[in-house]
Amino acid sequence: MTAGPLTARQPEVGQIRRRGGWGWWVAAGVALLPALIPPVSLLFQVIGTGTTLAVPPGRLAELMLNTAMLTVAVTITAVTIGLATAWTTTRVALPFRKGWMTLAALPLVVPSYVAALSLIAATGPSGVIVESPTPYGFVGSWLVLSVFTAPLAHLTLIPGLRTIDPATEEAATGLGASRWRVFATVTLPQLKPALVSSGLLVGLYTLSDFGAVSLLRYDTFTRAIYTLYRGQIDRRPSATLSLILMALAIVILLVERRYRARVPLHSGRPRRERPLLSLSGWPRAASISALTLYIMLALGLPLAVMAVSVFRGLESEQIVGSLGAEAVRSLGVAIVAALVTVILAFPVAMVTTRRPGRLSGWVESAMWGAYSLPHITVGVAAVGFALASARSLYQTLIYLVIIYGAIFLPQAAGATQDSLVRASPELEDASRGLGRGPVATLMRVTLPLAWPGLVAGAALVFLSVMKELPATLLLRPNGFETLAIRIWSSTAEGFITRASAAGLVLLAVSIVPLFLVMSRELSD
Amino acid sequence: MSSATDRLAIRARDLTRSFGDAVALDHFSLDVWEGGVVTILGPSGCGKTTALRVIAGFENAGGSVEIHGRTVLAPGVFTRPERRRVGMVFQDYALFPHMTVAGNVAYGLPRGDRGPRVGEVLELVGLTGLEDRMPNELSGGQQQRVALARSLAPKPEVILLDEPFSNLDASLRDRVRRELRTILAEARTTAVFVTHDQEEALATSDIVAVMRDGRVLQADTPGHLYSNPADRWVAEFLGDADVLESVARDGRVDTAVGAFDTDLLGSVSVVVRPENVQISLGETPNAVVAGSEFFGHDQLVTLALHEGTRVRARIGPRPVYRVGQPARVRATDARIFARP
Repeated sequence: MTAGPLTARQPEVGQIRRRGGWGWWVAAGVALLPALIPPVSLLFQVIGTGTTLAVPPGRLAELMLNTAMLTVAVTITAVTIGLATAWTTTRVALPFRKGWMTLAALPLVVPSYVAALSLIAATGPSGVIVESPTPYGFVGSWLVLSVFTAPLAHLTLIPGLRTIDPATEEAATGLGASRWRVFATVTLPQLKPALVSSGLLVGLYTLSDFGAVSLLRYDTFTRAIYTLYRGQIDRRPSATLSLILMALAIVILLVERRYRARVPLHSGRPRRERPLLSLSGWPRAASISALTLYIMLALGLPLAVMAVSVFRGLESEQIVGSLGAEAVRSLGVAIVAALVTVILAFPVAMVTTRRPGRLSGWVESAMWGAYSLPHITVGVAAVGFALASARSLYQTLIYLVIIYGAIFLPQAAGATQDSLVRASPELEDASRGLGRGPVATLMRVTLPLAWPGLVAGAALVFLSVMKELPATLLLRPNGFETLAIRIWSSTAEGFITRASAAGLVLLAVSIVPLFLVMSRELSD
Repeated sequence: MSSATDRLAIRARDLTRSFGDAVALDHFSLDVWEGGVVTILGPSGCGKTTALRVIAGFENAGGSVEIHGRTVLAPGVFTRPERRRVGMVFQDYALFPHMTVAGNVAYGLPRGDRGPRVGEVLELVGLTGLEDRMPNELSGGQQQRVALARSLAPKPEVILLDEPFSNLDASLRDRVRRELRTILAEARTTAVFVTHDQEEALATSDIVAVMRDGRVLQADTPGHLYSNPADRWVAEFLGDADVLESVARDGRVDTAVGAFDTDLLGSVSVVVRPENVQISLGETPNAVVAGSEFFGHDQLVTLALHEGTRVRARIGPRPVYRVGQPARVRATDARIFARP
């Protein structure tokens, strides 16, 4: 979830157009097909059976208001937290500064339903820390989502801060401005593009979130979609809400597109290394304390709370349940999905790096579009599509894996692109010139070059599938429980111990692929 | 140049600073008199930009700095850059990209005073009418003048300029340099330039301080510096120079290009400048023409002396010599330095 349309790297400008080779285009088209199903399918589902609005306007307005309030509130707080962590870890001379920078990004790894579980376990009835009515509803959702989406802003603002010419801040200081004035009048305005990008990223994520708001019982679009889906035989109401939510997400994406196109790129003149700000006394202590508090809250608290819940549960002999089987299922489906996605992504990456142009631009947009849509809407669309046109696929593992591939394709493609872009197309020409045919070239030159990217892409997809909840809920075969579903349903039913145990297993299994991904992201 | 009634604008003493293992400043010392234009000249990496930044307060260092008699740097004393009242023009201009020209220029001014002063200083740099433009709409030369105007607006006591001409096209450089000199004279501001371009340093300054490896080797007027360099390195750095090795005895040293008086004894380096080298054809040749570069108003002829060393002569546009032509070369002036 660290790469995305808002942080994707474009292939190098100036790559030579390659000649011929429609095979790649066909492969790419096939790979993208599943990604194009959701919006089209939803449209059909909603429009197909009548023109009356399936959801009462009063309810619709209520959902709009709730969703809007949460999105705006979370965006403001998450970006503020992210700005604080980004600024402190890039500009201030702290011990283990780079370590803090990585740590502050780690909360991304915690799925929102695990975060919600931690909050409920910590503060609910029989809470670990405090026994009180849990902050369900708006407050809980706002809290959880702000803390756990702040890393999105953190990761976007770090390169933003690095792009600012340090000389402009020194010039302001030289002209007599105090530190606060420099920050407000010189740093922040130059940070505007990164701030807007982070805001949009956080907003999109909040809009799409299902896990936290459903467990914390705050009625946004996503929660309502699921409730209606489960509760009614007529799928039109949930499809209608899905369509609206999808439209909102698309609007945000288009705004981001527009905005990014208008901001001019900075010239990459090598600049003087900026000296880090040396603090002493209470500002230094305060910075370190604030960072520690944040990390504790975002990483330490969930781990601790889940561990304590498990211990307590074991004491009172609550059954931990069929954790092993669920873990195996999660791992199995995640590995298969990762492999399938990487295979699908390879032709897409070849097309976008070796044949850049307007058409490949469309390919990229389609891919990232599917990725950015809220997963619950994709799930509803996929269910509708299967029931209407491919009945035998409904509730099969094959279909689930295909939909995973459709959603997470850009993660694999983006990582593969990075590797391919670094390898010059001349290498493939050289291989052909030395007498090796296209297949041999593919096997002996192209694939080995793309390999690091493929591995990284597979790791990303693996992580994403392990964590995925809403689409899995809607598309899985009956009785197929993954760790994510176990955590979510146990929490909803109040079995905190079971949920915590599953949560710990999920986090444990995610660690190795996580390290792979994080070290790549932050090494730039 | 200075008298007892002139004040010192800047007094830097024994500035010392390292970045890790690299020594940037090694007991750097410099005096700058009020109203003067001083250029710190040195090759890349000699520490000149660091020296400037220490004076401005963007870097700390050992040693002391006084500005108009106020101690801003000393053991236990460090005045923050925003309080030093020293203007700075950065190599890349560092204009605030999100503010207009007027916004940039007004930045260092107190609230009430802005409008008239901005207009005044823009007129001074010749940019009246461009108040509402954004920095990315300006040419390089215009951006540089905005940077200058921005630093001059708050009427600083001293202004520091870090390689201000290096980002301009060669054709623009001379013109901008001359205009800048005029503007500074009119504003009566003390200025310290930093550059690696010796032509620029010699052309614009009252005093040039030649810097190498973190310390000042020699600080003098351009004319004096050029004709009386402190050592061989300075001589070669400041302009074209060719060196012949020889031995000095009995108050004289003999070389293929002539004999010169000297107080030194033993192995010496004899440094001659091309403008003091003459070529004649009528006498016994001691060299062969190896090549020439034609500049229109003069030419630089390279000659290979029979004894091996190459020497250059700067002469008028005529006569034109052929490669391979034998000639007699003599120098009318030289500087002698002891060989370590």
